[in-house]
Amino acid sequence: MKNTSSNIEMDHILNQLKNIRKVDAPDYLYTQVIARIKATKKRRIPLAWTSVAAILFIGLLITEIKIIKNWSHNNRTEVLEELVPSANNFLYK
Amino acid sequence: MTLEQLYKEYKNLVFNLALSYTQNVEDAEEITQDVFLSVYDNLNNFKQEAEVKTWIYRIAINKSLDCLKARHRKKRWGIFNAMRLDDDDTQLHLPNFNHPGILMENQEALQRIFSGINQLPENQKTAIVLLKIEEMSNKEAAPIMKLTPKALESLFYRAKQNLQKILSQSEGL
Repeated sequence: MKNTSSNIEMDHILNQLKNIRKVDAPDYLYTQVIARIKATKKRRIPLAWTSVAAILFIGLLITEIKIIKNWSHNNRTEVLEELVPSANNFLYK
Repeated sequence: MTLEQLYKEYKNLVFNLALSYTQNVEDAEEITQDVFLSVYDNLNNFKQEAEVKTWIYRIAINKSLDCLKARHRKKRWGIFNAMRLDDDDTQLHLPNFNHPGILMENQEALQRIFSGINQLPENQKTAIVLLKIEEMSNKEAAPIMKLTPKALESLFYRAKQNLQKILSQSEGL
């Protein structure tokens, strides 16, 4: 019984929300929306620029890998040359 | 449909919905702009699976809830506000209350109800906004919330119970 009466009371409270009148959105909002769209477009980097940057980055990465590979190969040969004595008669001279 | 056409048709719907969530003109204006910016960005991706109105309603609800979250975070991290956070949460007082659709004579009563609604979980809040302020039927509101009418009915029932608890607690203070 108490539950029913409190439910009715709650409905009465919530029905007060129907007293809220609808208002019109201000006219200047559309101009602001358009301005924000234009600002966002300006800020966005064109796809062509992004592609060029990506290609340059990949090219740089490939060059770096090649340089590192060459360097490590040369380095390994030098180390081997140091470890394995060369077959010459230098000591007996 | 172009952005301008959509704006003309739905600007008041979005603005009033945002006002229902925030009860603040400046926030509602910001949300309205965000909604139509999002509409513009996703206009090409919009598939006619849902009605345009339902789609715009969903965007407006999400943007409004985002705004409330941001406002809550701001309040939470404000150094000076932190000390009186507990008071603000229990007191039914809205410092930014500025709703042009509420008449002076209803202001106090509605401010009290909104303070209670603002403490409800997001989906319960949305159920009350759509069913009581937007005056939609369960059948109309359910697809917007991606629920069945039956599920929305029980969600609304829980919202009413929780709101009653909040309001009676505030009266006891």
